[in-house]
Amino acid sequence: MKNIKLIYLIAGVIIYLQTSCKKFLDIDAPKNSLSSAQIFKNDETATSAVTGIYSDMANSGYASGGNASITSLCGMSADEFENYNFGLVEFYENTLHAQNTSIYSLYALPYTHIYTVNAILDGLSASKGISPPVRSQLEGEAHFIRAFCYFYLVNLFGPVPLQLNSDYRESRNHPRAPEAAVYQQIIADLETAERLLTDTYVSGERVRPNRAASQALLARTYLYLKDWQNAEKYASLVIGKTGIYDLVGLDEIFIKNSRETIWSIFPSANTNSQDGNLFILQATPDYVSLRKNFASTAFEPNDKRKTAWIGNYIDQTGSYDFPYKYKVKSSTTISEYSVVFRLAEQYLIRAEARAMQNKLTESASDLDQLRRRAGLLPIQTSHPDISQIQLLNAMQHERQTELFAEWGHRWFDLKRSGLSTAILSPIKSDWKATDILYPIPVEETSRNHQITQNDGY
Amino acid sequence: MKKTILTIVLAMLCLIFSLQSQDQDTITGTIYTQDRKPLAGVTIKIMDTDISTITDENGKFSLVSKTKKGTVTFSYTGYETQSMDYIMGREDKFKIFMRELRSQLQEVEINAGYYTVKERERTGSISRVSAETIEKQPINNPLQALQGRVPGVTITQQTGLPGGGFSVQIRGRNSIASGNDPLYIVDGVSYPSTKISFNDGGNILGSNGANPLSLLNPYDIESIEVLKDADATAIYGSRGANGVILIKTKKNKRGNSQLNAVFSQGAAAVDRRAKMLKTEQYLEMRREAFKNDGLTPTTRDFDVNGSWAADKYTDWQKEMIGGAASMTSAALNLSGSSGKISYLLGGNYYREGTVYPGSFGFNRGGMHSSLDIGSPESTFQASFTTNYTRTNSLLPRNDFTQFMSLAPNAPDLYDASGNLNWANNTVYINPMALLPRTNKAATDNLVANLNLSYKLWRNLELKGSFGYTTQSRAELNKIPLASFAPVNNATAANRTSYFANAGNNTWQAEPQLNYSTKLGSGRLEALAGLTFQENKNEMKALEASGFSSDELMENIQSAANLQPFQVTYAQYRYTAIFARLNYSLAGKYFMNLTGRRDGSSRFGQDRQFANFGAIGAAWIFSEEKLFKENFRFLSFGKLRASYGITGNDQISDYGYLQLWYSGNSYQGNATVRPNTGRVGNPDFAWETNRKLEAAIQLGFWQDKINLEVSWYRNRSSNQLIGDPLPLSTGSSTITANRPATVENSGLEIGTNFKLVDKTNLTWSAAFNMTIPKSRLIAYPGLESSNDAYNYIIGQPLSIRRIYQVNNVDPQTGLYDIEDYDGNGTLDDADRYRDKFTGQYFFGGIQNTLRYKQFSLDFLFSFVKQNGNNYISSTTFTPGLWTPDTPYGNQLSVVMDRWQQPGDQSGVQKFSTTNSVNTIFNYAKYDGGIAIQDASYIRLKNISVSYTLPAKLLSAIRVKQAALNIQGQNVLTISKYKGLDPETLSMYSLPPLRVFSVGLNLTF
Repeated sequence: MKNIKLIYLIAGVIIYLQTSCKKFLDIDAPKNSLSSAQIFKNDETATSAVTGIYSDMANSGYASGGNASITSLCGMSADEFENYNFGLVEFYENTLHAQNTSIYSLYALPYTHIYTVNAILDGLSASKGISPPVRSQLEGEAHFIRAFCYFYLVNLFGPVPLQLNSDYRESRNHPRAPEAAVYQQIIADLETAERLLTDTYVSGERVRPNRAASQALLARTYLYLKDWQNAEKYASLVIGKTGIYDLVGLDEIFIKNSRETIWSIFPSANTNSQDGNLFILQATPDYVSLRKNFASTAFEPNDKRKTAWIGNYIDQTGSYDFPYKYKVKSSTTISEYSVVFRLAEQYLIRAEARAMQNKLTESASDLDQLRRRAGLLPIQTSHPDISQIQLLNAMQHERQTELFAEWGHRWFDLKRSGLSTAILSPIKSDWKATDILYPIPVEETSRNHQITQNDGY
Repeated sequence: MKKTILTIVLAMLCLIFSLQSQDQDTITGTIYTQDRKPLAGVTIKIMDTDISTITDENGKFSLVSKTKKGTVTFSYTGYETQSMDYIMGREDKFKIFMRELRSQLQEVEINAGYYTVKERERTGSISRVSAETIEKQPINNPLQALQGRVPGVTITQQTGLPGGGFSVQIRGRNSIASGNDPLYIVDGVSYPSTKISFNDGGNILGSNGANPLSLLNPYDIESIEVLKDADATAIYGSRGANGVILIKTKKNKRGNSQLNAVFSQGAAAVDRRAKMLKTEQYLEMRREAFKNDGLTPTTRDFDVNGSWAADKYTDWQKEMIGGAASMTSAALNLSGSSGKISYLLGGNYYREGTVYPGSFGFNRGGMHSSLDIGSPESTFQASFTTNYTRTNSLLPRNDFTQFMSLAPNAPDLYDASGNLNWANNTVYINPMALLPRTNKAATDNLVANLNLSYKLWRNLELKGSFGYTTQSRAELNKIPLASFAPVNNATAANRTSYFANAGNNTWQAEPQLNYSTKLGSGRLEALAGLTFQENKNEMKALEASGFSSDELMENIQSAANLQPFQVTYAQYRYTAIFARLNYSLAGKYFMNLTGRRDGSSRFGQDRQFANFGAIGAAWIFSEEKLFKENFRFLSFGKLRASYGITGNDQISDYGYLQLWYSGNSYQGNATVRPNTGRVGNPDFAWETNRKLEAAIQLGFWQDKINLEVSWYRNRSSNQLIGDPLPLSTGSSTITANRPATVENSGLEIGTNFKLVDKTNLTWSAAFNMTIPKSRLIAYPGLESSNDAYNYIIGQPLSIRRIYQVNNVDPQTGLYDIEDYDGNGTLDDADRYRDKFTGQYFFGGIQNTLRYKQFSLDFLFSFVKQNGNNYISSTTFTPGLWTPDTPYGNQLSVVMDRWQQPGDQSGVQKFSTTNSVNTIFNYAKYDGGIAIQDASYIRLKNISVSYTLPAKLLSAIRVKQAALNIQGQNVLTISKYKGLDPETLSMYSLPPLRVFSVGLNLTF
């Protein structure tokens, strides 16, 4: 009998131990990394998840300003640059393949940031430890970044899958969404961001998007959608914040936190902007220089931008012009940040939107803000009776000279005005009309058979 | 039956005599082993009485008998029990030679981890290597002792450097993407199998890094058991899929009280050299290459443009790896007992140099102790074992083996005044300059285990096993400024040191209940237990650079720049409940059920618990009347079979979590970013291995010949495979369990023969062979996966998908590689052919001869395999050499090249151009031309020993002394084209040939 009691006792102990096993298996998260739950426990780590996206942007890829950035690649595809690098030949000659590694990163990295944003939004909504002002700031920035990424994806690649959830089990099967749906999402995200963000730059410097940045991107989005009223409305909202933004001298625009900067990206540790590092020539170019006749043909006589923003390097191999908007190639003293949105573009947006609505005087007045700064005669003085068509042509030209070597503006402007083929085919022997969209990387089409390839690839 | 009757009669007679006799007489004698060493602890018992004693340390005994006549029995674990009649006065002294139970292999107790089982009765597949075998080999890592001796186990030494990496696979590679290492248990505590070193790009210890088993002293090991099938491994649950290796360290055998000292001194060297081009041929190759290309040597082609002498010749193999590494091994073990306490205390030391120039080496010092309280008969029993070693190693950061392909006319490495010779900056790489680039490591290793057992009831025993093991390694790798060639224009910023600290520790507690009882007409044995285990694994490595002088490079404070280089951390917790039920009937029928329920923190939240189990059965048919009567030559016959499920938990830690890592700072503040290379998978779980085995064991003519043939088939599924995700998901892969299945099947044959068995001469031989077969049965979505060009359904995992490379085109003199899909470029889609790499069969032949005091042991191991030959280790196509990568020399077989249109050859034309080198690379990597027969037969081990006569020794109070000469990797017979058919590389040092002379003394 004693025997049996003992067995019962032991069995009881075993059962007890086994039930406590589940608890035993709860382990600490790895110390060299954090789990999602830990990230969104407090304001500080949650913020570091959002700023991680900016540091990633600064580091490499589409938003870096370096050789794999939209600035570099779209400039190559358009008529801004000469190419000296084998890796960029396909962009320069408009002969891209779906296997191109830069196309891969141009497509994959914005989606990585979208995934991160989705994970952040999931994490924030599940978290209780975040203070209300930080929560709305971070949610606002997250929506802004998602819109920003989709804006470039839809313009580079056309219809793209719309991923609003970080669960791979869903997102791996999504087909390409129509452009209209993507734009709808961009506007919705930006409106949310506008509502949640304030005009204050929370980190003291102009390196995290604020409400004005959301409005600036909204203005640009409506411009691209040809919704002139809204484009004008949002550009006006930004331009109206005269307490924060001003047009500044040509040499001051790209200096960190200039009053013209709406949003800039803080460079990676101990470097200045990658734009400066990429463009400024101190040796025979091995990546990029300005297109040979750009300086001589694009500018009107006496345009101060020609001298202020174009540099020249001469050696025994030849003479090379280069974009000289950023003045620092490399220095451990950081004086220039990579500018994403600046006030001048808002004037151009509003001028175009107004011209389209036949508000020619107001439009010319916006344009003249930039012409005066460039030391040029105002249109209102030189052509007081300018026609709508003439004004729009002047606008196109003004965009080219004001925004060259910045964020592929030229490439997108040609595309949305339908002028790509007219302008590019004379200078690019392999040009096809379908080249205005880049190919979807093969790693996307082969892993999700719902994803179709763009025409011409 | 007759014998029994006789014994009874004799016993009765004794009884009668004992009643009659009144005097008491003493029986005395000495007991020896067959090789004439006195044997202590032997039990001497007078039959049918309670009178017994044991021999002392000199093997002597004396026993008081109450009868004039009788029978005494001599018994000792591991030895054949003998009995002898005596008549008082007729013979006053017994001199008995005990025969080891090798003749009765069936009686050996096999360690199965949580229980032991008699060889005869085991239902599972377990192989055993004992101390006796291990001690005959001059080795630094216990894994070497298993090579060629255990069927089903492939052990490949990755480098001849002491402490270096090994790859161990039991019954093939089960997992496509996760770990394939067996589970190691040292004295009941789970022991790490993966490398403990960090990797800064210098890969001197092989891709598997510093092997934790090299921290154990082979001399301290009593036995190594290898558990292979489901019956043996299912009790290890989610850790048992790749087999289990149990290592038991030495304990005091009861009654032994002695001091044992062993010392050996040896030397190691590279045994097999590759035949490289001599200067004359080398220059012929280079000049012909330029001629073929229509080019002339440039100002940078120092080897042929006249900068270097055309008559200079250096055998770089001799200079770089031709040295002799001295090795010294010493150990001292003191064992004794007092009452119910017995102990063993030991210290040991091992030192091995390298065959490289410069003074490098590996030192290991250690202590081993074991304390046993009580005996198997006692109510309470305790046993405490500790093993501690400290290993210091100083190795170069680069393996000098790679320098064997320097140009044979390269200038001397030192100039006349003894300075490094850069020969007017024509030498870009001077190996001697790299001597100060060192890898210095100190590793502490502790394994401690406490076992307690208490008899609760007659047949119910409560046991507890508590273990702790820790490895901690501090490493310093440095690249001083002096090691750079002048042409590098290196500055202080190039001085780089890596400081790394790695730690791994495990604690484990396992309470266990054992119960045995008679049930029906059979016997039931049962056990149940729990496991709690925690493991922490940590590594921190810092990269320090910008030192102001080479001398300060070991001081981290002197670095101008410090940055984290590698930081890893993993915690692992594991808990389980396990049980075994064993039922035996009539000594003929055996049934063994084992099961385990595992919980592991490595698995996702909903998958933390899993069940594993196996059933094994055995039938000793030779006990059946039918066989006993009709097949008398058959002394033993057993059929056994098992089936069960085990798991593989060698999957990445935290795989179920979405992790965020530190990103670059933003505005000077820390940031985090999700690890998008790997998405968290909440369903992350173990891989499953279903094992099936059937075997027959036979003994003929009183077990003079034993044969065991096992057939196994393991199917491993639920494979954790990285599934590439569309880019728009934001992540590149999801690692998930998928129904991909790998099958490993095979045949294992083991036999041993007792050829001669006389008192003065014994000769036994053993043979084992394994014929493995592996194939990928299923891999859903293989075509769209990252493995699309790695594997083929129905083929082994070890195949390589290759291009069709025809022989050299007779017109162009270049490898003719087929563009299968005709798209104009060579890409993966053109790799439509495949080639097998790996082993067709392998095994070993062992012989043991003993003549009087001499004994001779030798083992040949053999492997029939395909592997990478010299081509895979050549840097360039023959003919090309550059000063910054001066590895242009080739094997002499390249002289058989294409020379002019119409030539048929397997070696393409000599050339210096990049385009020809590109073709060579296509043919070399994915063209399969480097895969060739790499079969070999190796005299793995030879050992001769001489036991000094006892008479001589007793004068100097030495109980036992033996002299031995041992050799390892003595001879390799192979047609392999390259350096060594085991490492299959010319970049890493081959396993060394070792000879040693040793002395073994017992006081």
